[in-house]
Amino acid sequence: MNSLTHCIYASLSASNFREQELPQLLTRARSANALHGISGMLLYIRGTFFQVLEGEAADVDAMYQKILRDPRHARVRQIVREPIAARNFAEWTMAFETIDPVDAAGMIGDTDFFSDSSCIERIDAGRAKKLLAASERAAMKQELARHRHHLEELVGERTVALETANETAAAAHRASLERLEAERDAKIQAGKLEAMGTLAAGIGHDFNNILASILSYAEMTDDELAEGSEAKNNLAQVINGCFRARALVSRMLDFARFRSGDPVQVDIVLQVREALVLLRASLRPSIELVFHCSIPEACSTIMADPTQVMQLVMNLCINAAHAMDNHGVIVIRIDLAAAIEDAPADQRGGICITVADSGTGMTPEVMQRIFDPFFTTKAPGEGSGLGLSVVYGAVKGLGGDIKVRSSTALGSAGTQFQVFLPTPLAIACG
Amino acid sequence: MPHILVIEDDVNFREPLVKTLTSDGHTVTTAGDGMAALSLLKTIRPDLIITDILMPNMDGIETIMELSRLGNAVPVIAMSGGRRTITPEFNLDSAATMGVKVTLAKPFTRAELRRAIQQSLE
Repeated sequence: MNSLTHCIYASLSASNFREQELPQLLTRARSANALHGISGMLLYIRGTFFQVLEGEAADVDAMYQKILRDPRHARVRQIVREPIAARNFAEWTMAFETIDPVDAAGMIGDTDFFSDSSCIERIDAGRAKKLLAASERAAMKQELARHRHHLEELVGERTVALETANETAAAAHRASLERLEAERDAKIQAGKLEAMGTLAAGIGHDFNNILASILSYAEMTDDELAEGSEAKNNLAQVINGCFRARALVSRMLDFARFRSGDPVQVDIVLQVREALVLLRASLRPSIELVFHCSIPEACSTIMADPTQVMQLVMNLCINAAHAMDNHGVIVIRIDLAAAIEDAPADQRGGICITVADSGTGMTPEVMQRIFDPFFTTKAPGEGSGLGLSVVYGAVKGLGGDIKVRSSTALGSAGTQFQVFLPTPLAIACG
Repeated sequence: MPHILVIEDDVNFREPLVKTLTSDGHTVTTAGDGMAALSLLKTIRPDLIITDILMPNMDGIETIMELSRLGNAVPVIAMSGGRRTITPEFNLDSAATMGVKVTLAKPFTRAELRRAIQQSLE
């Protein structure tokens, strides 16, 4: 403890003191003390503040001078210095009273300075506590304000981060929604086709049976009617109607038969051979069917609906036969896709079924549209225009691809369809 | 003239078919399904069998299989309104792979029927 305590009568008049300035005042006093290596406290007595300093006389003196020069202390009314006995606070107070006899109001500051707490009580405990509370409240307010500001900054930063995350999540959500919708649409479409197929097959069968009896009765009745009679002419229309209905059902069934069943392990070579047996029976003898197979036995397994695969091949061959006007050669090949020069990159692991005809080929305009549903070059009633579009759909459905090459140029090799299908043993075969 | 066994469950079609065949001079025996046909075949010896595919009790494919198991030498014409559809078990292609040389897709004309019969009996 230093030997001397000095008091700086650095008072602010009671009239222009605002209680909210107290925390600032306290801070300023403390930091000034720390700067000069002296300890002290701020007192508020009878409407006047006192900076009480404890230290060597020289240090305290330097402090006085500094305070006097500092413009921030413009409101300091008067400074006196006077040694005070630390433990004689009552006397010390009295000394001040002689300088500025105002009503004792209270005190604030570092209470440790006064070891005799009764002194504090004596001055004005109520007022002091009030001021202390006010100062603490103000300090807390400031702290709160600082925290609030910091919090606002944090909240701001977090908000930005959250907004970014939210946007990313929203975009991902939209993308997955779109994907799900597309999948759902595809499933609905597949379901519709499935239902249509079942319906077409069922109705087609029954309708054909009804047509069969109508046609039979009509033909029998026809025998009874006189040549050139009105009734015979009318009946000819009935028979003609039967033929038209038959063609319509046939188109419906063409479409329906491409419904695919559950994929199972299918020996593609076997299926193609079976298709060729059926084709041989239904195609004109003027069409030659040539079959080549270059794939090892281990690679002949694919996952598909066997009927669909068979019909796929038959459809391509029947199409080829029509393209050649029922005269010529159809070459059917099964090769490893890896052996095909320009096989699509993603199909190289599978197999390739090639159906090539020796026909007149197609113009680029026709070629562009061959896979379009209902596109046909055949006369009305001869082709549904569904054949190649369902072949296309079936191949795509099996995870494969289809390529077509054709030319109308003289001496060309007609049209060639290449159907690429994946095999489960792709790695071993590719 | 040849004796023909017609196996057809649909009476609406069986009737005009029988009339047509009869008017062409054939002797016709009918059965409503494969089961009835097989029991008839114990007593009659037709020259030709014309069978529907989709029938109750014993369908056309089963009938054809049973006939071939019994060592049947009588030619068979398979006919169906389902053509290549319905299911693989019930189509004319299946019949064809089982040795049926001539198939008829319903509805067919009298001319198509006559041609089929002629082809079968050749």
